[in-house]
Amino acid sequence: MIKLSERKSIISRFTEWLDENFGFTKTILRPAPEYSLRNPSYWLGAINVIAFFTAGITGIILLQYYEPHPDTAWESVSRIITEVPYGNLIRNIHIYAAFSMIFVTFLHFMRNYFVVAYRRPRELMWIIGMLMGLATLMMGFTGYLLPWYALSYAAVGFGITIIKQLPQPLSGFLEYVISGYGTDVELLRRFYTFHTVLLPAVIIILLAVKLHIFEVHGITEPLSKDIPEEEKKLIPWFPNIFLYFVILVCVYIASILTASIIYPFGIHEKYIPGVVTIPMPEWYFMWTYAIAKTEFIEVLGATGFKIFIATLIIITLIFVFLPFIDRWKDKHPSQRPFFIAIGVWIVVQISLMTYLAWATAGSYIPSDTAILSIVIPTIIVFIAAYLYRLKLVKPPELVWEKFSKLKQTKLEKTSGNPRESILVAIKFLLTIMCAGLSFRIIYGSLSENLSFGWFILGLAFFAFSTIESFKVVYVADLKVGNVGRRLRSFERWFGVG
Amino acid sequence: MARSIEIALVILLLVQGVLTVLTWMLNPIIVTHQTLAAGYIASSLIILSLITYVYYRGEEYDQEWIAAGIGMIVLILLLTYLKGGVV
Repeated sequence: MIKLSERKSIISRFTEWLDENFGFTKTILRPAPEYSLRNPSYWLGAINVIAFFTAGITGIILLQYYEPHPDTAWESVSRIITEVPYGNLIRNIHIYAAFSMIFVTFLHFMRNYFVVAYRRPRELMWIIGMLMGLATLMMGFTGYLLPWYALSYAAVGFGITIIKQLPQPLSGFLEYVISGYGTDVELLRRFYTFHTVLLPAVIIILLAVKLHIFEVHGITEPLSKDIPEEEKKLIPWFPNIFLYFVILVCVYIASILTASIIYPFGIHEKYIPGVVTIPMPEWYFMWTYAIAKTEFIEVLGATGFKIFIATLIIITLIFVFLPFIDRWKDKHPSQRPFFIAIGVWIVVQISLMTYLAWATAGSYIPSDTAILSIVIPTIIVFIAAYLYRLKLVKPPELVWEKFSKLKQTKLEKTSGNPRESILVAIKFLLTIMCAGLSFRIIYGSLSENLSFGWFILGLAFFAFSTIESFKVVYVADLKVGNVGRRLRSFERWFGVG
Repeated sequence: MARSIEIALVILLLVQGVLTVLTWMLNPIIVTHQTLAAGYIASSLIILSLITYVYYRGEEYDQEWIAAGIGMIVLILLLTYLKGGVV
């Protein structure tokens, strides 16, 4: 007879039973090194997949009630909000999942750019990722029209105007593919088909290929060679990485639900033929909209639009074929200041352009403002990179010195003190609430015509509260003796170690 | 596993049970009830992630993550009642 102490727990027996049935431990899903589980940035692609499936599942539910016809589309969305059980919530989850998918795609792209994750043998993985990113943007573009808002119709009309500027026969072909013979019924039906069938199918096929390549090559090796052996050990996919995924899924969906509590989406005005509305794309296309509505592009007319489209196509092609363009020998960020500068410049420029498009809704962006907003960040970022190259400034070392001092701080190790935990929870709560308040200030400054000073104040408050919230967790880490481990993770992330 | 964390997990499970019952009692058509449901489900998911985290890390769990998780649950519930009203 087995003693009580020797018996396995219910969870262990259940896990073993699942493994016996499904053979999780014998599947091709490869194990991952332990250091990757300590840094969520390694799993941005996984978060993207979670977002895609969240949007997909909620989208299938919405499909049951949506009617893709100009006369009834807006009404059906309105019905989803007011009459369908949990309809408003499901719609909000769908929109936030789509937005987060686009945002995480951008983070994933920038992260892989900075850590040079596109080098041999991952060139095709990068190209497939770029195609998936473009398909994701197209999903957003096609989905925006479906509620048949006046705003979205104007934005799509603007998109079609851009397509018309392409050389023939490409423009004619694309116009036909997107809008058929130009009737509203056909336009909506085609966008609906793209959004619900074609683009998801393309993403799923590309995802399968990308996952296969990922399974063959595994996680990109960190830039730092200084990794302790115990963190290099491989962790099996089941149950460890699977449980990590469960946590990711829970936190992700909880975040989306919280976002839909804080800022639920309403319904905009319906599109009525003949009524002119200012085109206003979604936030992720704002930066392109800003370029298109700068004064000098507008003044140049059709030529200006052609310049705009050519610029977009060239930038996209450069990034798609980056693995074959970037032949710089060293991969470490400290040895690639200009590549890092280009990455930083892109982030700054996109943020600035998005803000400008938002702030100047309904009018042009004056040429001098546009030129200054391009020239000033360019000068600052590239001069900083040049000075770094000349060894005149050494920002990573300065940061490193500061953290080294913290590392050396010897604090008494405490363990399992519930009072400490409660204090940490309260401090964390307060800092997150401050961050929320700062978001409100930023949002208010953008939407309620408050002065630019409020915007700056909101940003400063946000930076302060974010740093404070990290500090709370960091100090708690120091006290329980985890700081060394976390610092190593931090070092590798910034490639300082 | 430390006794204090076992007690904390049992309390969290009870809270999760209460939240599930509260969600079940809501009217899914009313928009404010949907806001409440979103808050309850989000809190429940954070609890589930905390329990999974402790199970996944075994003895090596970090106390501050549990504290931060509990902080998030309180924050979500506060926001929920602020936006959805008390039913």
